[in-house]
Amino acid sequence: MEHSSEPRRKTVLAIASQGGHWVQLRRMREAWAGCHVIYVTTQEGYRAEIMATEPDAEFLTVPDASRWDRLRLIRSAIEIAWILLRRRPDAVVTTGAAPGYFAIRIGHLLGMRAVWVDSIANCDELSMSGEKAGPHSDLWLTQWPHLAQPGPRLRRGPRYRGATI
Amino acid sequence: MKLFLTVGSQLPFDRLTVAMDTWVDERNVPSRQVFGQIGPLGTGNYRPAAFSWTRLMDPKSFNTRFAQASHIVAHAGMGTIISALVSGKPIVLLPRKGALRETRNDHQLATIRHFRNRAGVWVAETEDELPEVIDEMLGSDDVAPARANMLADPDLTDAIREAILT
Repeated sequence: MEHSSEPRRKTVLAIASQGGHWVQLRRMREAWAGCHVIYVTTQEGYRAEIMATEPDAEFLTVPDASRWDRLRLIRSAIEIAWILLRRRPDAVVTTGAAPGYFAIRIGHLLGMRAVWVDSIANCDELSMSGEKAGPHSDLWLTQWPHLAQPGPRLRRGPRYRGATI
Repeated sequence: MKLFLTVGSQLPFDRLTVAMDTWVDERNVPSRQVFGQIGPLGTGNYRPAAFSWTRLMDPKSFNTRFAQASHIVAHAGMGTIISALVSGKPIVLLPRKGALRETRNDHQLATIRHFRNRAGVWVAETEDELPEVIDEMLGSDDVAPARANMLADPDLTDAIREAILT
């Protein structure tokens, strides 16, 4: 039998579509410092940035899809489900959009910790994917104080704990 | 002076691309001082004549162009706004509008309201305002705006860390 006094290092799956979502996700990397991190995004071109700044991190891509493109959405969901089933991260963290939504819903079903941080671009109302994913998250955050709706767990909205910029 | 135009990668944004082309032409700006990333071509297949451009850029060439530019002109996308704030480069924003099918909703209109008061951020609400706002940015005596932090609020990352680890 193996004995270890050190707690097992947690694995975090950090997922976001390309562009602003990805830029915001990367700015939160202190949150998983010391964990094993698997980045998942929709743009292969980000690999170099990860290799340069976090060489220990893993980097995977899934198809990009908006909610207007049903077939690609389904393919994206299947690939994300496969990654989660195979890699079994302890936690899923996302800033959206569609890939993050799938990761939260599937990760939550699989008993993983789920963290949704709504994009700072949503300054007047929460994102549609955030509204749907939020109730399935262990931590649901908005980056705008005026959008926070803290409350009892069953009827809660997102909380505000600061912003990515 | 070196200007970098970027409209994001998902959808065309001809209102901005055309207004920029017109501005470069009317002000007689040498074409080597301007580079544009204009996204997929719009329904009118508009191609800028007054400056060199490309449709899409990989992150590496995007970062290079961004670093070489002294000023940015862009749609009001968060990735671009954050890049400008972090690198301390003045930026002019023209918001995409949902009603014109330039994006899925009017979130860029909300974005400009919340970011327009930041140092170094200039806003053109319509394409008609764009030439003057670019002139204003270029003529402003402001020293380069302070560079924003590379990382998110520590309060935010602490909250996420707690949720991940406990």
